[in-house]
Amino acid sequence: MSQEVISWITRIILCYFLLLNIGYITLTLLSVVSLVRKNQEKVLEDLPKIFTELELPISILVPAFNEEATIVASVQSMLQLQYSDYEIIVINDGSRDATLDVLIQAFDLVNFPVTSAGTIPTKKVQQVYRSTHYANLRIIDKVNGGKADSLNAGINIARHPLFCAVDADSILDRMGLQKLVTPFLRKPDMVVTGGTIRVANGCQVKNGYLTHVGLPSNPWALLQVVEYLRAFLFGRLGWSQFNAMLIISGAFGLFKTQTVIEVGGYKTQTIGEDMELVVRLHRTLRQQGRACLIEFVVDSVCWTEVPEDMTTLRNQRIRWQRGLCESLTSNWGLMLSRNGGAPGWIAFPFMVVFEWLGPLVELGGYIFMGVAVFYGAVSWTAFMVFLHVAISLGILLSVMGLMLEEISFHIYQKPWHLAVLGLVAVLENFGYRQLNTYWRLLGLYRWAVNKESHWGAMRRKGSWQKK
Amino acid sequence: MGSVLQDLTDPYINLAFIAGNLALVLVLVVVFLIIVFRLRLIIALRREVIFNALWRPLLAQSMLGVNTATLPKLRRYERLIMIKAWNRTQETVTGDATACLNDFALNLSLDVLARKMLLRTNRSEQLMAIFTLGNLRDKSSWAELIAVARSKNPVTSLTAVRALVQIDAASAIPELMDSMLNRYDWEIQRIAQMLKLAKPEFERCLNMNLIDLHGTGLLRALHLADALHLRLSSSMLMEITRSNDSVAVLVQILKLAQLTPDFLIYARSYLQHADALVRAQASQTMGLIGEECDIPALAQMLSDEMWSVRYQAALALVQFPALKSGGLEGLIQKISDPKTLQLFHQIQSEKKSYQ
Repeated sequence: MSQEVISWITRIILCYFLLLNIGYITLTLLSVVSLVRKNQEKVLEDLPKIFTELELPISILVPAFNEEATIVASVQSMLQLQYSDYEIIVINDGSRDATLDVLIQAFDLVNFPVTSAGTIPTKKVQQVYRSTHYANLRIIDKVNGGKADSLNAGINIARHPLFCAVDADSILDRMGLQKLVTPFLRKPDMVVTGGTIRVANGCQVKNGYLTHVGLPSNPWALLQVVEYLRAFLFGRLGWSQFNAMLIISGAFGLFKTQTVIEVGGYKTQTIGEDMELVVRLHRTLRQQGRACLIEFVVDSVCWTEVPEDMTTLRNQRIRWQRGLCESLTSNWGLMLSRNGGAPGWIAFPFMVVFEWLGPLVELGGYIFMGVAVFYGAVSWTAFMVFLHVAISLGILLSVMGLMLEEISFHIYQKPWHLAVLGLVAVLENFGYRQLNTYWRLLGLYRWAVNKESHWGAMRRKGSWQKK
Repeated sequence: MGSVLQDLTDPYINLAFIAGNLALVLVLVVVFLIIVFRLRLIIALRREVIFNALWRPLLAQSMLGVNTATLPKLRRYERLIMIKAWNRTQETVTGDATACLNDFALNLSLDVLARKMLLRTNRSEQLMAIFTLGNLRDKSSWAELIAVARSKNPVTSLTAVRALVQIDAASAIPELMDSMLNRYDWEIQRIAQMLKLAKPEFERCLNMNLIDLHGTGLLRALHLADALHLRLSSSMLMEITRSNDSVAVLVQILKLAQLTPDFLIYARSYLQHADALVRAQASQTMGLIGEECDIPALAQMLSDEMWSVRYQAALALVQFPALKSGGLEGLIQKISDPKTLQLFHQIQSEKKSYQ
């Protein structure tokens, strides 16, 4: 390889890292503006909450696969939400553990004859139950078909104009639904809203309430606390400022039921069904010339358990990357399309260049630079500058995530919490982020060779719900 | 192979080096800001503790009507905390306590402070000022509040509407009716919340203007009327159905007709409407205001092509007063279609779970 080519590759890699981080810093600045504005409106939270019957009724869909450890506490937490009109539909997706049994026992379930109005095809529904304790709780027991199939089964029997997809191991903030529904009341064209996901490991839950916010002692979970802050507080909030969100977390998203039915529900042949649906909604509605508003509600919070061991975390990240690949490639029509707007012209190309192909360029960059230095094609100075810029910008983004948390929520109240998170924000750039990039590269490879992967591989401990 | 990119003389390497250094400087700035934010928070919390120790008992006493004419001087940093605390208390009380709290605020010249804050650009302070003036029923700020209510910002403008309704609902509602119905950046739910304080005034205004409304404004008015359980004149509702073929409007009028039994004759005709949403709503309304002679028509709706209509018709029949004494069982026995039978079983099961 000629020296000229090597020098150009080096420059391209450096520019790529710079552009990637400039993109993220721009999103951060947009988020700062939004959070400052939101902060100034906090005084409105002191107003007494009066329900008016204009709140849109919501069906909460909770797909569950082998969730016996956490499902009862999660449902109990959902039953205590502050919202005027909602129903909970738990979908037992052919669990092999005692998920259904613990639900039957805890909520005194009896058979419920249901005539489905739904039109989305799903795996066979074996039985629908209703609780004799709670009028708004129903359970679907169905043949295993995956998370997307479970959500479709839930949509088919959902009674309300909005449905909220929630992970079975999650604890929703009591005011979470009220906040999440607000954009629907303000804008009739709103199709989806999503909330913030926070790490529940290290927190304490009693009787369905989050009673204490803490930091996990497990290093893997601790690293993910900073990662989630970064992803939600500036990633999603930033994209939301110009209606260009392509991801709403499957753990906590509110959708217009009829619109989702019109686009065919969740796609069952994909792993990242949450992102795929959002990108498909953008593509389909924009192709039809219809408005498609998608908003991120930063103060609507859902707490979820994150993996505490490397294997589970690795598998999760591989699945996420595969999901991203599938979502982008199956909705390629949105890319630079005539009615694409900000999602088609900014977010989609950004995702393709920096998220889809990102692991290839990033890890390739590290390897290329290492090899080039080894063979003397690139000087140590250039290599050190490369590491300097990659790591410094990475640290900057992490501490900015922490700053956004500090100016807006102060959820981690003890000063030592802040000190630990600050330290993690620095340390995660020395190995963890590179490891993540490697896992994402594996995901990209598995997507390319079409290797199967399944949902439900996460090992739930549920220890935070038992404290 | 000799190395190409030897040092910082290469413009790309140099640029990257500068970017890296800049990032490190920014890291230090951000860390400094985080520490400043945390220190500010700690100071604010400490001040609030000191404030609570001195002023909370006085606020509580004032609510009970205890004379609080001689109050300590409010320190500069305590002003905003006081405004917040006073408003928070004021929002949770009614009756005499409201008037007593207002006297307390006037003794501390919170009205003067709020009028000054209303003109500031800090949104948080402006919102606090609007709350305060509304809770104080401060008529002298009417013009300023009207100006804020007409401003572009949806949050401050809607909060100003609330204050104006608190001050004088009879004047504020006609003045702001058009914006209430046509400003879609104002959450309808919040409008309904504030109109709960002034239902008679809004009902009067709506009955006078409803016939002249069109499009989204009309629909929003009907939604508000439904949420506030207003009784609108049936002749006016019928007039609107004649001049308006919007499905959303028809559905909303049929919903309102549940409070207007003399609308029955018109509701019957919508059982055969081309749109399923209208048929479903008409079935629901008939279940509430229908008569015995409507049972065959509702029974016929059980074979509608749309599930939602069949469901509403079955629900209406289950709830139908005239069918309660054994009539429903007789009707179910005559049904041969297993799907319709299952629909009735579902509804009966649903009813059991809500009992």
